[in-house]
Order: sequence, then structure tokens, then C-alpha cells
Amino acid sequence: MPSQTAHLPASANEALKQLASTLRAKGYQESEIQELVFGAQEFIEARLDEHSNADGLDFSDIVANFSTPDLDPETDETHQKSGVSGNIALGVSLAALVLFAVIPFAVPESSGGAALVSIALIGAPAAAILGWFSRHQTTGKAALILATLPLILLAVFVLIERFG
Amino acid sequence: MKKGVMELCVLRLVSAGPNYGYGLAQQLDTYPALSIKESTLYLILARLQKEKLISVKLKASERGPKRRYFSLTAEGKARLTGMEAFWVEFSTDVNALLKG
Repeated sequence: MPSQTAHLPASANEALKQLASTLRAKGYQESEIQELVFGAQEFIEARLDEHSNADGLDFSDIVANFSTPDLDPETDETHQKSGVSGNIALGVSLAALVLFAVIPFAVPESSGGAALVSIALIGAPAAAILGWFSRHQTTGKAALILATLPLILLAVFVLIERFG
Repeated sequence: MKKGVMELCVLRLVSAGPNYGYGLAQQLDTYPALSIKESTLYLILARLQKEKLISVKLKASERGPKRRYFSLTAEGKARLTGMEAFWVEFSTDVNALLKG
């Protein structure tokens, strides 16, 4: 929300809050919401300039306009991408869980394998959950990397133990 | 396609000197074919900022609160030059094709 709204009448501030909520519910990114709310604020200020008395002024048309831009929210695409990352991360975490069930039979307890298994057990699902719920593409990718790394470590360790 | 063209137009308007969103919207309104919702303009501004093609500074207005003025960055200037060159070539070829 713009920080300079103290000069606006209460009805305008309420309209801007409503706009921010609507845009957030539609999945717009915070930077986009901020810009759209700033834009709506500028149009509200212009309308206030046109009228000497702010009482009874209606800003619902401005809110409606700024709630429905012509262009799709950038976040639609981002959500899709992060959703894919989240799904992959979830798959990786499930694979980690399956490996965890199998690994005690493959890795000697004294060799440090248990520590790696712990990393996979805790790190992979945690990262997958982060990716699953993440609404930002960058976080989704980071989650995927976090989820994959312990599994790679684990796989390398198992290979060394079995064939090294 | 319109989105790309509108980004070019907004960059061109901002290149003329620092301007704020409402001012840009008023300028765009003078070109009927380029008419877009004001909200769409602000989304374009958000994207151009994200790509560091324009920067924003708070400046005092003649009356009322400070306004957010947009300026073209060095990257924005380079992008605008490239887009303008492409547009000239593109529109020339399309016009030639349409004329048969």
C-alpha cells in the first residue's frame, strides 16, 4: 500500500484497501499490486482535485477499473511455473521417502549413512512443501534445488558404499 | 502483440522526460488506437521497473502529495533504440505486404 495516503478522505483509503485485497486475491504480485494501488491513488487524487468537496465522492469505478487490467497478471504464469516446480519437488520428496524406507538395508549404520538419510528425510520434504506452497517462481526453484541436493548426495553415497 | 507495442510507447513517452503515471495515461489517451485501461498502464510500468528499464523517484508536485516520476534508465534507452528500429522495419514490411 502507498505510504502517502494520509491526505486522502477515509472513503478513498477504504477503496484503496479494497483494491489491494481484490488484487491479492487474484494472485497479482506485490510489486504489481503496489503499482496498481499507486495508480488508483493518482486517479483518486485527480478526481479530488476536480471537486472542491470530497464528501459523497464515489471511487468504486476507479477501484473496478484497477481491479481488472487488460493484461493478465504476470503471476498467472509465475504460479504455473512454481506449481510445476512444486509438483516436481513433491515428487522428489516422495522419492526421498521411498529411498529412506530402502536405505537402511543398503547403508551400514556406522558409515555415516544415517546422517545423509536424515538430511534427505528432513530436507527434501521440507523443501518440497516450501515449493508446493510457494507463490514465487524463484522460491519454487530454490526449493527444487534444496530437495534434489540431498538425494544426489544420498545416491552418490549409496553407489560408493555398494561398488566403491 | 499489443502489450509489446504498448511497452514501446510507454518507453518512448518516458524518454521525453520524467513523467508520472497519471500524466502518461493522459498522454496515451490522445492516441485513440493506443487506448488501454489505466490499470494496464500501471502494470506495464511495474514490469518496466522490474526489468530496470525505467526508474522511479518521488518528487514534490505543485499541490498535494509527492508524485512518483518515472525516468528512462540506460538499459531502457538501449531497449527503446532497439525496439524503435525493429518497429520501423516491421511496420514497413507489414504495410508493404498489405498493399500487395
